[in-house]
Amino acid sequence: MNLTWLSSNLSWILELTLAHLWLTLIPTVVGLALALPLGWWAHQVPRLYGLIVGTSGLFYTIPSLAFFVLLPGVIGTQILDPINVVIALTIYTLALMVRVVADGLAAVPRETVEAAEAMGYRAFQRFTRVQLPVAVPVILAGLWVAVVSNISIVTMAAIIGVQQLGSLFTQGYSLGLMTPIVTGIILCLLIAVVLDLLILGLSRMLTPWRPAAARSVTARSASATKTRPASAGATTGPSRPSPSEGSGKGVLS
Amino acid sequence: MIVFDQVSKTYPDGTVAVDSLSLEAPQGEITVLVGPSGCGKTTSMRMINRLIDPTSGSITMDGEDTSGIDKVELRRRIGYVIQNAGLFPHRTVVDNVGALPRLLGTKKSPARERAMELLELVGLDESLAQRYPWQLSGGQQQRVGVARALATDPPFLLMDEPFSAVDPIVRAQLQQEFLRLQERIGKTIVLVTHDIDEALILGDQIAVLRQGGHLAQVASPEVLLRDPADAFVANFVGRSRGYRSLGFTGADEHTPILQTASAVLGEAAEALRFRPDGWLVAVDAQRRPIGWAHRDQVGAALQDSAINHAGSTASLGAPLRDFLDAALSSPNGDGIVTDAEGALLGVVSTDDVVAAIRRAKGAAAATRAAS
Repeated sequence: MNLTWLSSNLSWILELTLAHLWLTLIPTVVGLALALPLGWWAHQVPRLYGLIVGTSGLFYTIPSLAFFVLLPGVIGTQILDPINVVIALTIYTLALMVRVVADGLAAVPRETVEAAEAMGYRAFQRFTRVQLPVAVPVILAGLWVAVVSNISIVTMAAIIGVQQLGSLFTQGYSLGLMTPIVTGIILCLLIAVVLDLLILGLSRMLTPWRPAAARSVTARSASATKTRPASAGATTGPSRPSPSEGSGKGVLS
Repeated sequence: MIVFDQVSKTYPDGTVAVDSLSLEAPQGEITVLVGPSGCGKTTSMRMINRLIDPTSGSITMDGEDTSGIDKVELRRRIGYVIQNAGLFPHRTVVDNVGALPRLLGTKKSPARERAMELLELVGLDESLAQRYPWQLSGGQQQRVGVARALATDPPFLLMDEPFSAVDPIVRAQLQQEFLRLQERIGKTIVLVTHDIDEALILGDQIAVLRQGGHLAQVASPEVLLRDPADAFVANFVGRSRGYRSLGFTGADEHTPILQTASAVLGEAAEALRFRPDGWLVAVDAQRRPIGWAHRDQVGAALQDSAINHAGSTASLGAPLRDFLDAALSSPNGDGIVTDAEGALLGVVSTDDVVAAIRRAKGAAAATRAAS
């Protein structure tokens, strides 16, 4: 490790870490917010499930670099504007989370939803007061996959000059130094761990009603997002990555 | 009162689920819809709160056509209990019960207070109030389901196979408790079940439906057993319907209750007086019968080991079925009869019970001929 480089670039590294955090978090939150109504719609109208989930999933196949480069032309932003990265990652998050939300809602016991309907809950009241709270474990498990994937994909933005931890990779490459690269990887992992703990805490807070054993298992298991076996083969787009596929994307594409 | 008038439900593929059903569910009574699967009983019930809309015909509640009421408003006037309870897994027991009042704007603490009262009403200990549904047994969940349906004190209650998912012992207990509850609350109830025994126990009135949504017969349990409308109803009501129908007829005043030899448990053998056939009724200190004892079995004193426990007992005023069962289950053909407190009154012979049944049949036939 080149400690001289490290100490002289400390404040820059901190800046990059914060930027990385924001570039990951904002798209995750916005993407989830958009996925909720879409996922609800896909769940509510089974005829449209394949179309909505398949189409949104397709966006995940667009290589991130192509996305960053093409977006300014499509929406008229500056090529160096971080908003391009935010929008691209929001779309990736949306692509992942629409299916997760739809499947999470499908996993809510049928008689629970039926009881709410028969008791006189309006559709929106059913969604916010019954379906969504009960689907939280599945949705958060899927969100974790999206977060990890975003942390990794953000690094690609270094190539178009948007500063974040990925900039350490390009820096290290051009200077022929390992230290920036290793630092970048470690900090990415650190962010992943911190956000994982954040989601775990959120899950604990939102689901005090679950058996303790079930809580510790599904908060981390991405397999919880793979419900809806009946339509698994027939309707999918190319999406539904495992965590490893997700994090590999930023590097490979 | 809920009235079905010529109600039909036909699905787009042509399946007729309910065919021109006309039926009244009287105020404050339990109307049971019963029939084999595919008979349209659940569909019929779900048309009341418009979870399903009828294709034709009308359903009125207290004279008001339900098709003119906003679906959600309508459902809030009708309590609903389903199989497996359908509780909200993310809410505690007390908050499950208080969920609808909260939705309609009741403040948290009065909603909880009311919920606690309801939990007591359905026989749940208050220590369960803070538990989540997965921490309850099936029977407990079902009670919470009933409490939840009563939360806004609706005048109507719909129950879809409410006791089907619990084991037979718990089911029998829930049924009896439910009948006692209904005596207090007097709701107008429509209950769906596939189980004719449950229908006979719970129903003030039973509507038997057959495949294709045809109403085969509407009648009280007694009439259904004694006078089924056709072979389908007779078959559906099942075997031993003759025996079960005795459950609705009392023994008349001409049925002789005879004195019998009896002795308190523990009495010495030399003090015992047996009947000519060698039997006596062993009783406890409160003179409640324990069973029959035969002279040949009794040793130095009347011990529990010498007692035959096979005989059931009938209390005075019980239906003929209890008298017949007491006589038939007795080791000597005489049924033990008790007073209202359960103390030994005497015995009734099988012949006298059969004679009473004959007289009851004759009276029923005479009534029918007259009407």
